[in-house]
Amino acid sequence: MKLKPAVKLIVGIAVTAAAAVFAGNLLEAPLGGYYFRLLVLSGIAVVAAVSLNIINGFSGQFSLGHAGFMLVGAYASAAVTLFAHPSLSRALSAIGLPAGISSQAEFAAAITAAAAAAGAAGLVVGLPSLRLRGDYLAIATLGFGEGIRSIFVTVDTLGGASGLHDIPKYTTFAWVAMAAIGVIGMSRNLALSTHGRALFAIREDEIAAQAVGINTFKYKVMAFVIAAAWAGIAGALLAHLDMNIDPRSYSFMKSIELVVMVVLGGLGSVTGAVIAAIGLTWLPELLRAAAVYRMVFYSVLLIFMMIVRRQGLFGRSEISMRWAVDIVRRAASRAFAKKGSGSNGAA
Amino acid sequence: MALLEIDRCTVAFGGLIALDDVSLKVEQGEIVGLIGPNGAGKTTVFNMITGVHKPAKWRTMTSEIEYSKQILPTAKKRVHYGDVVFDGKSIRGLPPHRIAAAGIARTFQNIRLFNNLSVLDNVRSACHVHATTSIPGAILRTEAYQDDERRILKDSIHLLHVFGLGKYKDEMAGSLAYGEQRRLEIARALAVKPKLLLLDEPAAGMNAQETRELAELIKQLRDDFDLTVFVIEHDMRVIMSICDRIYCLDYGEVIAHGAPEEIKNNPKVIEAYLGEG
Repeated sequence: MKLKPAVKLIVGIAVTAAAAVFAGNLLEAPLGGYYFRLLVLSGIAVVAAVSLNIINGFSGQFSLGHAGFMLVGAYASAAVTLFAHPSLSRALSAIGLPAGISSQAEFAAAITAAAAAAGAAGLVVGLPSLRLRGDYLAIATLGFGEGIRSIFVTVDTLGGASGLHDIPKYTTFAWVAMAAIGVIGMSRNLALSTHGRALFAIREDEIAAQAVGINTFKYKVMAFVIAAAWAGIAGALLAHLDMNIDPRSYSFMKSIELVVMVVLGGLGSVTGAVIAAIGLTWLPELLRAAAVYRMVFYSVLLIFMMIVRRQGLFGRSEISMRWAVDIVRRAASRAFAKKGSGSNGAA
Repeated sequence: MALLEIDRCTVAFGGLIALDDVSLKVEQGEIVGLIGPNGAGKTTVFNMITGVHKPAKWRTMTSEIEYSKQILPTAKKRVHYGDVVFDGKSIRGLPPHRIAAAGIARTFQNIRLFNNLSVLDNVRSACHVHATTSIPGAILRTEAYQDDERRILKDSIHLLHVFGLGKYKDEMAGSLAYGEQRRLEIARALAVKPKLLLLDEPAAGMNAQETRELAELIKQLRDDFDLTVFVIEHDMRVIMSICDRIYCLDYGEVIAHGAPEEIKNNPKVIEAYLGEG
């Protein structure tokens, strides 16, 4: 009885993995290298943005350090695939795994390490700084993000300012799709549960949340750790897609970009974060035709969006099965009512 | 033994003494009123009970001199702690969520609902204390988790119907009318399944009709939910009609306590409210 959800989970992962591999193969040829890479990049953006939404959207805290957690994950995963690679591949081939599978197993280990390291970083940062509120928390997380980057840039054994190179290209469409589905599914289930409601309560009114028995500090730290772990996974995926880690590209601007995605999608809306992450990854590329005015268009569009729809694309609502069914039902009943009144009129 | 016993507690904000050596008792099953002029420290009493403010480490500060003496390190040995005892255990210094879990729920003077959550979710979020599933269980949607969620939903809907809010369950809490928001806040507090309910000016802003209904509701809740109620209220009709006993606070001190009739005729109370005649 106790094994049941675990079995379900494993079967679910296997089926999604198979479907993701199949979809990847199907999409690669028609899209071509450039657009296929964009698709994979938008998947990674989805993982990062949806995870940030757990902090900024669900629990109502304000983190500006998400790129820092991505960087921790990137380095942790590279540590596995670069430094632990010789011993690991030897061990895996000793068990008799073929090379193709053993590299996948290695990447799985790298992703796990990334999640663990980034999650631990989230705990270390969260414990002291989540006693802060609002602007103060934002500044503290900003400091963390920039600080962690400076550490990686200055420590020479970690590649110094030029970062890490020759990372194997393990990231595939299937891995990214799995991670995206994982983070979306987890966010959704969390939001529907009593733990999700605890986070929303904290967002709405922290004092009232405490008064109904919610351990607000514990939940804020939990949101932070979960989100950081997923950011680490996004970092690992990005590092093994680009085959290098350039610490400069995980700067404060990256964190801001992720915050923009979450706010534009609608704080707290998983669907919104997904759509905004995909949109904002494609938009600058699609605007390349505008050449030097590209970023002008981009910023004007953002300002325009915030003026006409401040609550974000989706506000706090989600696209779900029930939502789709409701729309169909409403349309059907309207059509039916019209027909009814029409026949009355005729009578 | 009393359900709640505050034993010689002092709350100070810097040099301002909000509560000065306050002691009071609330017995199981009683409805006890707390009255006093504005700024007397009534809400501070509630905040102290619920762990928002911690009683100070010194016990009496009747004069400036004693105050300075008490905070000197050498005076530490003589310092006594004020204590808050609930249901036989000291809850002094516990964080607010542990005090809520121990069985004390409250409403707020200036309504504090989760405005952007639905009416139903406001009540459901307060059922959190009694939820039993872990976070991984919730993410994997285990059988036990789903049972737990179903139970929470059933309890919450039941509570909403008791308060006549069933038809609004999918509305945003912030969009309810004022009186309904007050009722929802009480419903949310009861979802914690408290032994003691603290009501901070529940009738504020209500018209005469609503006030009468509220008084009836409070009495009925006490009987139906096996509650003890401690209520701050300015509306004397409410206080006099529902309370078994009343404490009167002025300038952070208890100046009188007793049955409604005694309080009504107590010269100190009259003076506190109307000034010296």
